[in-house]
Amino acid sequence: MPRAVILLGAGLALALAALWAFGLFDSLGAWAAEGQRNAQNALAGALRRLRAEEPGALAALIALAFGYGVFHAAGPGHGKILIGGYGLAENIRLGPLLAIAIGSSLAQATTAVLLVYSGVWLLDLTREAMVEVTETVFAPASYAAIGLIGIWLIWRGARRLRASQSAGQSHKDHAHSHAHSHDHHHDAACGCGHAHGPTPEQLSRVHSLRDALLVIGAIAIRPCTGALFLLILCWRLGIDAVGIAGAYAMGLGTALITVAVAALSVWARAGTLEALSGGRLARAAPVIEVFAGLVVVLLSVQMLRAAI
Amino acid sequence: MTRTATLTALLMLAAPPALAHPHIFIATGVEVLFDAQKQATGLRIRWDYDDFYSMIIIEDRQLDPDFDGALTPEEAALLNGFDMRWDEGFEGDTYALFAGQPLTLGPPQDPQTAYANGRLTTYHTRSFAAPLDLGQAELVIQAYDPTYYSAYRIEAAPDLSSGPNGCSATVFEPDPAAADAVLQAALAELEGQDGAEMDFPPVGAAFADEVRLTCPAQ
Repeated sequence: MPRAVILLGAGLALALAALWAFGLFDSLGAWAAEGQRNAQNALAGALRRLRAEEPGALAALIALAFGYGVFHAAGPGHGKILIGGYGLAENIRLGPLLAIAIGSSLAQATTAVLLVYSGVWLLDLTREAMVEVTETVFAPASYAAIGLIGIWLIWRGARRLRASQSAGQSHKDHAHSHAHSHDHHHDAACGCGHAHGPTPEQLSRVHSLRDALLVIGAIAIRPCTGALFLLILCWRLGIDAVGIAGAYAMGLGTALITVAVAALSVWARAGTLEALSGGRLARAAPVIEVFAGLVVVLLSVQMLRAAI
Repeated sequence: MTRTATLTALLMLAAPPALAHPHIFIATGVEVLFDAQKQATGLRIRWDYDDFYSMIIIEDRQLDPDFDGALTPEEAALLNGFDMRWDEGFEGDTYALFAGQPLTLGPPQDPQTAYANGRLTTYHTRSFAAPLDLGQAELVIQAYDPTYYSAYRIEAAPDLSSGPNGCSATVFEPDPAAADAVLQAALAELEGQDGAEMDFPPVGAAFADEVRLTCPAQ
């Protein structure tokens, strides 16, 4: 990619962040809510047509559920905060991050299906009770998990920052640098590729998989209330398969937005590193990590406070 | 430190309205009730639920088994008051201000429920603590859920038919610029108190639909 295009990523992300911070996304929120209102009304219509066995009703319902997911996700939400923060913080390629984004949306739909069916089959919960448990238990749990991942990003960034600083010092005293060779982090500051033990690539793969599962898990704890509504409604109407398909369609709709956030965060990271390239590059990556972690923590605390 | 606190405040302030997603959409209407002296005594509030939530409420109770979008009078009676069992601390999502001062509204009374074309409509009355002379000051009625779980929209001008002649009412949609100004003012106030407990200021109302009512002085 040309340098200017890479740099644009950082500028775009900064501009979006500023817009959000100054509340200018509220009009986007209003627009998204209007879209969701229409999708929601149309969903009811599609269910009616499905019950009346009109042809094409199922396809319409799935399409509407997907649209509902898109509108629902258009405002900033917990999944986007974590995916965006993680993508900004970590040296992750676009492909794996997109997989995490899609995986977390589908896992969220799975949580909704599991909650509704364990609720109706095993626990005999009412709809109100399921929504209640979502709002009072799963939502705060998810925000707390996201906050913990934020803290972890800060801690990891701080550790890398320290490592890069001491690596900088060790150039004067080369013998000293061997004391640090067990540091398995492989960012630009650490040139130590020792053959004993797993290779950095292998470790990186293990770390990424563990990270991916943690990120997906933190997001998926909180099922989408809209999916709960649709699942319960379809269960009542005796069309369970339609409800489950609809819940996953909603998840894919949500994923569309999360994927965009993932792409933007990877682009913004590349742009920021490019803008800071040169002597400061080694330190820029952990600083970004700390900053992204801080934002994730702040926003998760905000969501947690609103939820309890 | 101040800069960090400001950034924190910015993030904390900006987040709530944007972070919540509404799940219930309610079109609301209001009728102002007047007594024989043409003083306003309370509000008759109408809530039209969206088709999807209406269907959920109906199916939860396994009503309308033939799915024709209509209820028998017995079924409608069974449903009456379903949205009037308010939790402690729930203020009813209707707020009124007279001469700029918040009014205390009484508990919901006379619930009524209708279901037509697959859409639920409920009515309830909230009384003012004392009758108001609308010739003296402006009455502002707002509809919003502070948690934004329900999204309210005031769809029609209020019914003033039983009031004095010459009253007028205007429905205002939220003005993002004005709401933002309220947010910024609250933010500026917080900035002066470094380290102070930063609670989200009550700016939610600034983002709400509202009705403003005035009557000629008598």
